[in-house]
Amino acid sequence: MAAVLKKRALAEYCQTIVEDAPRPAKRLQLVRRGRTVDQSEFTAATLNSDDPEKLLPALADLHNAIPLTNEIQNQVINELMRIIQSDSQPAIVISKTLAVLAAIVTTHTHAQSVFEDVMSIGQRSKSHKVLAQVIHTSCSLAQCDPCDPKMQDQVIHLALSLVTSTKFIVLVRSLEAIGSLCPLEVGSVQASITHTLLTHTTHQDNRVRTAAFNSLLLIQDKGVPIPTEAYDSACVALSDDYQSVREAALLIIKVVADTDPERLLPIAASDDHMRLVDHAFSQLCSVVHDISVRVRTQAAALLGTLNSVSEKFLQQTWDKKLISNMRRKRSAHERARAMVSSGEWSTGKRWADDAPKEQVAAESVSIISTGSCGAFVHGLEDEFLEVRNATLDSICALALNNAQFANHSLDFLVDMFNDEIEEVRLKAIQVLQQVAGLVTLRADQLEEILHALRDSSLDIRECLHTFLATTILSTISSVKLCVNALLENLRRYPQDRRSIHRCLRRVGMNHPTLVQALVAELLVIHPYFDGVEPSVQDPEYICKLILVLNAAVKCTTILPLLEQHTLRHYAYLRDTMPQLVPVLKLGEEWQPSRVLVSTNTLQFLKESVARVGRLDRSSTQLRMTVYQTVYSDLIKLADIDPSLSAAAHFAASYTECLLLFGKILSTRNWLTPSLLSMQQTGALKANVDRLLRTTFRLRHAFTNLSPVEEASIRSLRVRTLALQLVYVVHGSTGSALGLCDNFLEHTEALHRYLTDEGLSADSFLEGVFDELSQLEEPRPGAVARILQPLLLTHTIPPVTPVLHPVQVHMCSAEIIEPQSDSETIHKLSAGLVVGVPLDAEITHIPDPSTLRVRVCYPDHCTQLVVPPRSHLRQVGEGTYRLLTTVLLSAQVSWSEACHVSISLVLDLSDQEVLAARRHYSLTNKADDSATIIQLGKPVKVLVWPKTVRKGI
Amino acid sequence: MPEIKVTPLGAGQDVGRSCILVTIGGKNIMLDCGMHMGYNDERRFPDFSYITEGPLTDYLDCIIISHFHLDHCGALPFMTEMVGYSGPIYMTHPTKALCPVLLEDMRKVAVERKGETNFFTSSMIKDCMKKVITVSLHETVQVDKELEIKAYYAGHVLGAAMFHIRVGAQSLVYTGDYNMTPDRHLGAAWIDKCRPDLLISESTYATTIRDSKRCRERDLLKKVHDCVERGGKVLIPVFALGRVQELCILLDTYWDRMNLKVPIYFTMGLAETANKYYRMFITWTNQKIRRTFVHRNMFDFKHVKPFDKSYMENPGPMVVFATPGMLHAGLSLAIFKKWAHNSNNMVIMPGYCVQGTVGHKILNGAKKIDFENRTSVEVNLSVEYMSFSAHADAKGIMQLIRHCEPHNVLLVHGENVKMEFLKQKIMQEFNINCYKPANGETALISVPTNMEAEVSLPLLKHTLATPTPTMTPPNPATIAPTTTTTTTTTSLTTPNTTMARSLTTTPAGGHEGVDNTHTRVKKQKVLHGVLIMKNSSLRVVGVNEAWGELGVSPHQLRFTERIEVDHGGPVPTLTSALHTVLAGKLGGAMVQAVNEYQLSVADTVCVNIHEDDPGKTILVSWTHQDEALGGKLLDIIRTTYAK
Repeated sequence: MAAVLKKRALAEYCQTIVEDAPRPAKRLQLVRRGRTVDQSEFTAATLNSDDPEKLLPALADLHNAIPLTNEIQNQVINELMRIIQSDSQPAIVISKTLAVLAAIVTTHTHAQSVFEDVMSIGQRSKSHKVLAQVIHTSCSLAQCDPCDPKMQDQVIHLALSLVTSTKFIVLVRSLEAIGSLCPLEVGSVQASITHTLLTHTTHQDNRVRTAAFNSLLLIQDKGVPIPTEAYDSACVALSDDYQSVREAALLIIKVVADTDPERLLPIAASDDHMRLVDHAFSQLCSVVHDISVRVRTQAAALLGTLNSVSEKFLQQTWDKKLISNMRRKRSAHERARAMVSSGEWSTGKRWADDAPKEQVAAESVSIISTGSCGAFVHGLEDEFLEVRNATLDSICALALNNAQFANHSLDFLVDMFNDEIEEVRLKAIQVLQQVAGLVTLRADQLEEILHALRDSSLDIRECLHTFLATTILSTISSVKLCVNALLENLRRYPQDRRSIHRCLRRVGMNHPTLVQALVAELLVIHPYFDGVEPSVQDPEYICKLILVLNAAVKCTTILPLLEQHTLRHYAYLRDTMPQLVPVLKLGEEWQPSRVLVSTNTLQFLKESVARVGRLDRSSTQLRMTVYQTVYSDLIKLADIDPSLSAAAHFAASYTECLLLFGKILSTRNWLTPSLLSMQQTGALKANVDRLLRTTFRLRHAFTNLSPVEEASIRSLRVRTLALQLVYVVHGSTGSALGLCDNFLEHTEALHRYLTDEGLSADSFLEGVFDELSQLEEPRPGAVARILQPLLLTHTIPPVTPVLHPVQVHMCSAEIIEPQSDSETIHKLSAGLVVGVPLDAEITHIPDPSTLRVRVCYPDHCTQLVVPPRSHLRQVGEGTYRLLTTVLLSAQVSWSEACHVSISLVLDLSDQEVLAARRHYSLTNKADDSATIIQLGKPVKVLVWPKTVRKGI
Repeated sequence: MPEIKVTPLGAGQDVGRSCILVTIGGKNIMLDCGMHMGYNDERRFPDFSYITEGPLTDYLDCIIISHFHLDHCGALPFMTEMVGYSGPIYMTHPTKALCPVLLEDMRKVAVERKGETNFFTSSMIKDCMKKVITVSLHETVQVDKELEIKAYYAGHVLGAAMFHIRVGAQSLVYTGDYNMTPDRHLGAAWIDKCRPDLLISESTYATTIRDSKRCRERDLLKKVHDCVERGGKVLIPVFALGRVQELCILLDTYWDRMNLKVPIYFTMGLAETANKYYRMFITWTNQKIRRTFVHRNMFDFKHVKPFDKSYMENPGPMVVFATPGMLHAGLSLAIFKKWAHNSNNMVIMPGYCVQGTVGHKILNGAKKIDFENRTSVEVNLSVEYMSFSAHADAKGIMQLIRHCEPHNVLLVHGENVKMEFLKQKIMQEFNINCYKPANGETALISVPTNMEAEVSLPLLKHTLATPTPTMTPPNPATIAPTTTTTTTTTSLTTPNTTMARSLTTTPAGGHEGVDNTHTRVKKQKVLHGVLIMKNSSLRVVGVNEAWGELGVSPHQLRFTERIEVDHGGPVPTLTSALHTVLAGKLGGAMVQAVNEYQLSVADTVCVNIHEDDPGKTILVSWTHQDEALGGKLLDIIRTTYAK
């Protein structure tokens, strides 16, 4: 201890403090990038200089500023012409000027004026860079709209005269120019162009070779036939040292094979001939072994684009002879096939079950693959996912045209399920799904495929479900295997319920007789003994029922097999999930009653709407009562008939608005709130708010409306805003400027809309338009004074009868996961977050970017969460599926688990009512309900933030 | 003719150890320095005394180690520290990191378990590693002025590389061990079209063409999955490096994909140390790992946990990786004994098993295994075999040859019979020579001599700019002989300088070097110049340049011929008549009238017409370069105006 103290004492004495000079404060240096000149700022004056050092940056700025406005353009062109005509400028300035010129001049009239000058530089200049740019620029000038054949001729002649140049850049530009300007009509020019291009495909410089091939492609695209020798030189170029040449050559081979597939080519060292398309296919196949990834990818992708390839060549692509120590060996696929076809059994206990069999003669083995041998096998084994993906795409394209090929590809596709990269796995399954209709699965293959159902990726499982729904199984055992795998899938991943239901429905429909054989086993029916009645809450039992009932539609012999309770369950399912369970031909007692009643919902809807319309002159009291009844009727109707739900909601909301208007306007003294009782004030305010919300919803949640309906909604909205304005002006002390602006904006928009659509405004609007046009300065007070009498005198036109009730779309959302009645408690440490997986389906959403997840905590604070774009996937026309994780958090711990409600909403705050919001944000800050639209019911989840344990 | 000499000190027609001595362009290089794992005496190391009498450092220019397997680097400390070599040693970064780990492990086994003496020590390993110079992929390292080496990715194991070695114009590629198909953690070998004179390739699987790996992997994974699903335990006996990492990744990602919760255990020790390095050298792994490592390093296994002996007794399913790989001793055998009786369990043998080991017995279907201490175990568990080999198969070897286009191939690291087959195939398919020397046997590979000549730039530019006289692209085969006949006209000898007027053909563009016999034949051009050989350098310069440089005054050789012509009219008419005749025969562009008395043909031959007393004389004069044209002209004039 003493030692320590001593040490410490010494340490303290010995300590010397050297005081540094106060450090200069670190200066923050902000690097500001040079401003790029935008078009409005660019002035032609900067070009008015002869100093190359100033000119060059000015030219670069100009290049960035394109496109230019018309007046500047003329000025700039003049300046540029001045630059190129001066002989003193260095080559770099001239060529940059020419490049800029090519980008600016897009019209024929301008092009004509500068063309001659540009061409003349070509004669004067010694620099090859300038020369190259001259060709480039003049070529693009000659292509200005409309084309000028005379200019084009001149450019072609210039370019053709320059192909003897030794500078690659001049050559490349010349070849490009003659490629893009090649005339369509047959003649000496065309002939010399094709000849020039052809001879340059063997030029010493790789860039020139590439340009020659690309130009050949270009003229082929235009419809000029390219010489047959081009194909040969492209084949030779496949072994070029440079990948850009190989890439260009691949494309040439592809287009030639497309245009002239049946030409016969002699096979070297024999008298036989082969079709060009076959030859091209095998050439492409050999490039799948290329050294460069880019070339391999392109070759693999192009393989799928050749259509009429002979069967023989296609089959070869799967060919790979395996040998082990010079003995022939069967591949795993062959072994699997043999096991099924011959009934041979593997003991599973012996090592080297796959021991190589017969000896192979050394001469007969070819290790180098020739022709199309094994191209796809190789492509699928490639190191890079780009190549593998391209190969899969090609396989898909070819398999769709050729059932036998599809069957061959099956084994390999299944192998790809085991790829290390998910993207590839998914693609393999998608390919499989697409060819599902063409293949018949063997039991062992099915087993391998079903194994993938255990995958944790939702996409893969759902893809497989779709695949299983389309494919045709051949035996009872396969169906059984499939059903069992799906049930296991359900146990493992309960969230797949809906997808599995859909899948089983199709499986049942596709294999009625095979399912029949399984009915007793699946539903545990015993010939003598009565089994226990299964619970309809059991998800597996539901699945089985869906399968059996759907099979029973086609195979009526299943029906007598079913037990009484099964039929009762049928009635239940028919009620709860009508889209999954079909109508069976059963006795009356088993049919759910609703099916028999002929529904007149449509008529009812129309009558209800008409009833509202007839009320024009009735007393206020009566009107209110009728509105109320019609409103509640329509809401019920929406529940009853899903097909009319949107229309009914639409009509109901409209009626509700009428009702609210009536209520508000009939409130005595509504314009002088000081005379109202507290209760009345509250009710009035609530009604105004509700009216605003309802009209807002009408305006934004419904789509596919006819113009008349649209107009009536918009005018209703305007009327509501007018009411609000009047109410606020009279009732509160705050400024109503924002509201007034908002109202005027809407009114103007509506006016435009009406004139555009050629519709007439109703009496209220006419009055408003008239009065407003006479108003000198639209101040809130003045506007309100105009509106007040108009509001009171003009009654609202009743609901326009919905013209096509079935067509009206209402944006709605259904939250599938989490389920509302779930008892699970999400626990978290206070201050941290917990993720709740959300799975929802949104239909008829007008603009997906406005979708938000609204999280409402028990303390009434709400959050709007923007779901990531990638989590929202489109599943159908206007239908989206949102698969995301909602993050919940709380800063303090709660004493018990509380409900947090999650709902999907449309957030239109940035589209509409900005002005209104400005007003509202003054009055009540937290309320965002004015700018959002609830979609569907909120789901409540139990969340329990706990205290952070100290001392971790 | 220069030669490349290759002498395998190991790996010649066998797979035991790799150690190859190469002499190329006067440089002596040792490729790999492995030890034989089968021997315990001095036979395990290469016979270094064979190399040279004197000290190794003077003789060898460098050592190149392709990867960290002991049969490729095991003898390195012995050579550097005990035999004595202090020259440069080249290897890649991961190899340098992992090599000492393995060497140390082997040393421990040899010295501490087997009790060997006369073995290198830990400090020797460290000293040896200090001499190592690391190379990065595709980095060209200049060993000395003439010798340069460049590494290419080889797959096989982490850090394995192929080396391109160049001395002057001669070059060779040594592949080491390589793999042309990617696996779960490494990519495929890649090389560019370097066209070496010699390719030294391994040939372990010379007579095998393998099935797709994916299918086998899927099979294995399904079996493991089914086994743990029914509550069984899976034992995977492995060796510490290479395959374990691959299997771990395979299972780890599969566990992730399938959402499995069953524990996977992994014995600590050497493999754990190795994992640390695997985590660091992400750039050497395959596409998947490289793409995802920012998100998560694949070697930070999510589901693989360290194993403790007590876990053996735990109930419930589990997967265990245990060493050693052939079930002959240690932990893996202990676990096997415990689990063998239960038919729910499974053992997966991921590699080859030597005869006599438990692994070999169970692979052959033994139902009961007896041990030394009179105990025996019933084998009820299922036995699976899955070979994960990281060598290129025959197709892969051929593909590599096709990619790099060598002029000769030399096979090592394989069995003689198998090599013979592959050798035949290579000679047949590529039409190139193939060698397979045995250990201690020297293969001499003759390479073509390339003389590099410097061509002066103005000459080159001038030649490229002038269009070739013939309209069609000239065929070098036909042009060359005719032009060479005109070459040896004058020869001038000055002390120490030989000057010869010559015509050389160059590949146009000249960027490919002078050697164009094996490359694509491009448009060729005839170059007219003077070849100057001076101080062992070759230069081709323009004629005038050469004159200036050598201080020789130019002489011009002219032939003049007089032809007496019988012609009545005045001279101009004769001139114009001659003009039309010649223009008709030679083409209008060639013939030009200079004045009334003079014509010029092709700018060089002049034809003068004189008024002589009896008749007229035509005087034709040409330089010796225009011999052919002059002769032709003479003929024409003679036949037309002959007396």
